[in-house]
Amino acid sequence: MPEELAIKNHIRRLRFEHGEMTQEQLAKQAGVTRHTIMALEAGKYLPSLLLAFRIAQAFGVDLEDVFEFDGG
Amino acid sequence: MAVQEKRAWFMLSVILVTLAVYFAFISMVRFDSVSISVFALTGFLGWRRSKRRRGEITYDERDRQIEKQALLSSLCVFYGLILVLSLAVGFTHGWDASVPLWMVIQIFWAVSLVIWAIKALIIIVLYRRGAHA
Repeated sequence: MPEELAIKNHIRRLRFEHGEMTQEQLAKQAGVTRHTIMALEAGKYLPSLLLAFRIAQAFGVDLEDVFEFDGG
Repeated sequence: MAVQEKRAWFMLSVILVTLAVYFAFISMVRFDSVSISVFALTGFLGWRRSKRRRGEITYDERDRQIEKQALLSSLCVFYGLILVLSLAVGFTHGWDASVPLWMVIQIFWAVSLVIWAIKALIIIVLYRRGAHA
């Protein structure tokens, strides 16, 4: 299994926990396009460290609450 | 559909139209400066139509990464094609032979079209499949 697939994210869950935040709203706060948020949620894209921090900041949580390393 | 992906489809359309018009001209007037001038249609590749709303982000790190990957792959193909075509011309015409100018121009345009087409195709594939660095 490629290493990148071992990183999971909880963006979709966090969006709903934050007042059903839309992908558009999150994208705007993180400074990316909505397509990138969609790709992240679908597990098709690994964000840069900077974007990962921005997303965590948008939710007001720590990085580990958004991204999870599942590589064993 | 992402802006870059739409643009890639547009690029493919321009390339296909250019090739269609070119072959139509070739069948009518053969190899001629008129046929070569058809490649001017590729100028539309640089055309950008933007309906960007105020404050909307249309390009980010993922788009940049996909574009970079597509460009690198198309450049690899470019160098491969240049190598193969150079050897082919050398072996078929002899290494001291001269080739007509129209052939050089046509090869240049053909290779350019291939590069643009490959870049557009890779962009489309990466947006569909997902881009993992």
